[in-house]
Amino acid sequence: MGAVSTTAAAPRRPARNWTGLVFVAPFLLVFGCGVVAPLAYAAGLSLYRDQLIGGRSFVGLENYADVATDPQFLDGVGRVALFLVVQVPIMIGLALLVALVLDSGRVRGMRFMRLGIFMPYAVPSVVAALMWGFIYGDRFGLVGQINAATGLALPSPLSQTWVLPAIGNVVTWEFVGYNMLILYAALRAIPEELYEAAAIDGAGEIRKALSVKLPALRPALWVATLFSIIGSFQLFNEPNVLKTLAPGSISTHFTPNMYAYQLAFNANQVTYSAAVAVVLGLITIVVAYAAQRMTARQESR
Amino acid sequence: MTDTAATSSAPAGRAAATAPGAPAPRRRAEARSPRRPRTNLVLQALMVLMVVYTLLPLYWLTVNATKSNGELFRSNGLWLGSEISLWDNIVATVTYQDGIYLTWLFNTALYSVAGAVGATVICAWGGYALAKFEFPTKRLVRAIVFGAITIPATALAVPTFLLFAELGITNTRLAIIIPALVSPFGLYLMTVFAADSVPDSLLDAAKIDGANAWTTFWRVSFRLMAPGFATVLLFNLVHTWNNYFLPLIMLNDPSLYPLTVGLNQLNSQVTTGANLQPVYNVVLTGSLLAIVPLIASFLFLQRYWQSGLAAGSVKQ
Amino acid sequence: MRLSRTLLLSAAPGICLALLATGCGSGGTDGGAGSAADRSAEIEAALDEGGELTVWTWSTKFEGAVAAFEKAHPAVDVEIVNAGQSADQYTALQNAISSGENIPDVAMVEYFALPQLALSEQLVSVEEWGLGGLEDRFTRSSWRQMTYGGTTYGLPNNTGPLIMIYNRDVFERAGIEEPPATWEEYAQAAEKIREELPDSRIASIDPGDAGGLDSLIWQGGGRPFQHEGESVTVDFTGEDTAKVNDYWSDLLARDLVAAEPGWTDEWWRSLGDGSLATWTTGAWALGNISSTLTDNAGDFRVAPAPVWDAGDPQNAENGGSGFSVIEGSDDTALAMGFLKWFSLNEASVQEQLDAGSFPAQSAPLEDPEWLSKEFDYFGGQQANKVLAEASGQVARGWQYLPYQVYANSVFADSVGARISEGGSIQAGAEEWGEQLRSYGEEQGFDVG
Repeated sequence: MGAVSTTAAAPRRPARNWTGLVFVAPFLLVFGCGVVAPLAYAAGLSLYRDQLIGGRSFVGLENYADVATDPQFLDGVGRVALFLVVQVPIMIGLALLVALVLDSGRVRGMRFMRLGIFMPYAVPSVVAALMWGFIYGDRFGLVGQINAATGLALPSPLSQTWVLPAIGNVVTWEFVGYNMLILYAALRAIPEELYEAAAIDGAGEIRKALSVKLPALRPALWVATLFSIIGSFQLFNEPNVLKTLAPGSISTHFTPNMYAYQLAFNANQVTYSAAVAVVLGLITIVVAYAAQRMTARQESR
Repeated sequence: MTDTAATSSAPAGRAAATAPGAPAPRRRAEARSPRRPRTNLVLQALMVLMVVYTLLPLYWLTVNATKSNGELFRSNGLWLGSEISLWDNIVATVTYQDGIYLTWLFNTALYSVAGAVGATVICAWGGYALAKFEFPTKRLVRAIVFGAITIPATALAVPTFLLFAELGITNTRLAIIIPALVSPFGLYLMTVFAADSVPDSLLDAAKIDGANAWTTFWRVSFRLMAPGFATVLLFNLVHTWNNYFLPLIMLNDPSLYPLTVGLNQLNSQVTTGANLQPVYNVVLTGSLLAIVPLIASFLFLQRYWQSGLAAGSVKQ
Repeated sequence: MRLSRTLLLSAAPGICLALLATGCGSGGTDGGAGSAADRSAEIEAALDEGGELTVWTWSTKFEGAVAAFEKAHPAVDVEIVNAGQSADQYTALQNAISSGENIPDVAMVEYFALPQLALSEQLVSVEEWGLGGLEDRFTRSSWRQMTYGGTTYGLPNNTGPLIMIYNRDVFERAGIEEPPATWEEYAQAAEKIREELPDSRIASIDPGDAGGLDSLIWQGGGRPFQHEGESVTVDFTGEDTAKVNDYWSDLLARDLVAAEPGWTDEWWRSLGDGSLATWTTGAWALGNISSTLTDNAGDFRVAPAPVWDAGDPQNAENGGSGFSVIEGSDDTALAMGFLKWFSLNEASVQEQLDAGSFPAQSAPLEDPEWLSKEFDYFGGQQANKVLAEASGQVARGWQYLPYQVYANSVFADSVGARISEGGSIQAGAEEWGEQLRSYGEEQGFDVG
């Protein structure tokens, strides 16, 4: 096992042959089935229109023109954009704070806390949304009990005003521990030398956090953020489960994914739904790519 | 430092070391220095709050899974009822509708194991190839596959459904397992793990011994990649275990549902009253039972994921 | 090099399609059509020969009846499958039919969904199979609702004439002696309840329940949906429609009713502890409340739903469903045989009544024994008399849209949002109507 940690072996140029391609072929096969073919098929479908009366007809790019000006689609995109801008920084910030505190060693019961905070990651989002749905009840749920016990009048988390923050809370609850662990693991991997250097400079805890830890965390932070961004655009499970409790607050086009689902499965507009799915995929890729570019630029500084 | 620490530190260092030219990290021991920093009360309080936040809903679920239906409507949600009906609830859950819950549990396990093991093996082969072989089209494959990391599974769900409907394979187990086999991020991780853990010199030695590539992979490389394999496997497992959107749209036969879809169907039936017998106790107990296997596997396999996580983030 | 790359990329999905396609079989085809007369013999033969049937329903009220059927027809094996609730089941049905896989033989179809399913050719006409003459064995309203474009697509099973379940104790504490008979009295009762019991309301209005509001509009004389052939009309501006909507907006604005989705944990608890005093709903609800709020035995009574004109009581239906044979069934003759026996055989109907179903068949509604049954849960009340009377007063002329499943799915987006924020239900309904008109046009209907 000793050889394992010697990462930098002498440079070697393996012979160029097809063996590697054979090893990677199974992946390419499932990739073709699971990614390329569905996308290609959806892209093809999106050029048609379905009608209850009249059946299927070719319409070219008309569906895309419709998507671009569809107020319900744009409503959903706007909502997840807002969600992204507010929830992602809060969650990552919280995760960062917890990771730094754990790393500082200034609290007791670290092992328990690390596991406890990570635990929600193992809970399926459907179950998470079900639980929080019960807790959010403003008569008999936890919110109602807090109101009864304290005489406060907390608004219902499922009312129109509060439902987006309420969903944000569920998502934060699910993933804060996971992000915390990524950051924590990255912190543990910071080489001792950097701290020694900082100590020689006479840096305090706060300065050490700012000048040593944060810069070293940057790549891990970006990875965490990137995946959170993708997650936000794909928001579906939580609002879909909570919709039964709050039909007047969570519309069928609450998020773009819910809208695609509604179109395909309730509105008999499969082909239009395909166009929405393609556009949604493109938006996600563009946003994720932009985020990656920003990372790259940060790193080259 | 022990061997285990060394193997797990390779991936752990990766995320922090993606910046080119970063020095090979020297890992700090858990208790970093002989002088343990003093406990800070403010930070301690903060962390306790945080743990309460993350554990309270799970506590709530556990407490309420011990109550009968009538008790649920009567008692305080944060405390035990007058009697503990957990066992009755478990019996009610597993016998509900001729044991449909157990069917769902079996399906979830099947989809997760087939999907996750399959995906991880495929990723291990692919990652090994990308890290250790030169072959035509390699750069193209790399670019496409790593570019695909940002295509999220849920964006593919509706297109996949449309294609599978055309092929007539919706509402089959295959329709859930095939998409679960694709894990571009897993491939990326395995590439990293393979590059880090399989020394070229060993491969050259095996070659000189006359072993072919296939034997070398299983006899030499796979063993070295095992910790990485376990990490990717675990996270693929979580991903398929928690999968909801795809089976929701793909399946219409309840005997093929995984737990997530089944539980939500049960819940929406409780809340729309199609059943004469309300089954809140089944929904709650079923939810609790559904998360136990994952939490247990996380506890048992802590050593792997805690380090593997740092190799990048495995969300979804 | 360049060539091989392209080849690889284009081949991968192709190979995959080929692999997948080999795994898929094709569905069976229907036998040729015969005349209605010899169909009866065909059905009998199929029942004798036996086979397997799959029946989709999400309700648990039919297990007894199906067991009775299997006992009477030992050669037939019937599997009940719960493929999801209402809209979910219709989605599943559509998916099954379009993919040709896992198509049920018989499915429960709610009246509101029948036109849409019939239009998209998912249901088999019962007239083709000689069951069209059974009309007078069912209530007039229910038979009509199984009919689309002049053809009947199944047999009615249960109905939901509107009734009001009320909490007698809450009424007493609020000083209300008689359950309100008109909507005017209902509003007065609502005021009393709020005055005397500040934490209670007379009812909650469900922002997610299109069928609930539909039935109130129906009862008030509104007819917002009409269809004939390929032309549909959606009009929420009618006087009677607006009257109903404004009535409820007014109660909401005065905080006399709550705006809360029904059937949730919270809602059941509210009904159980008297926070909500009444539930105006379909007759089928008696079974639901008595098996859910078991601790409340004796608290509730059943009364006719309030009406707009005491001199001319008009009622409506909330919910209700029939069973239809599905296009693509492997054995249509056997499925028809099941449908007929299940719907009309005495033993089967009795099993359904015992399970708490409210029948669409006319026989039980006139059966003195059924009518005089005393319900312990409702304090010994002969509740079926109230229900039967309500059933007799259902107003004519109501229609659903041939895309009502879609319409209901977007109800909460417009009307539900207004209910939740305490705004104008009428404004929400007009917005809903606008959306339904443009959807109808997109789908190729002639929208008037």
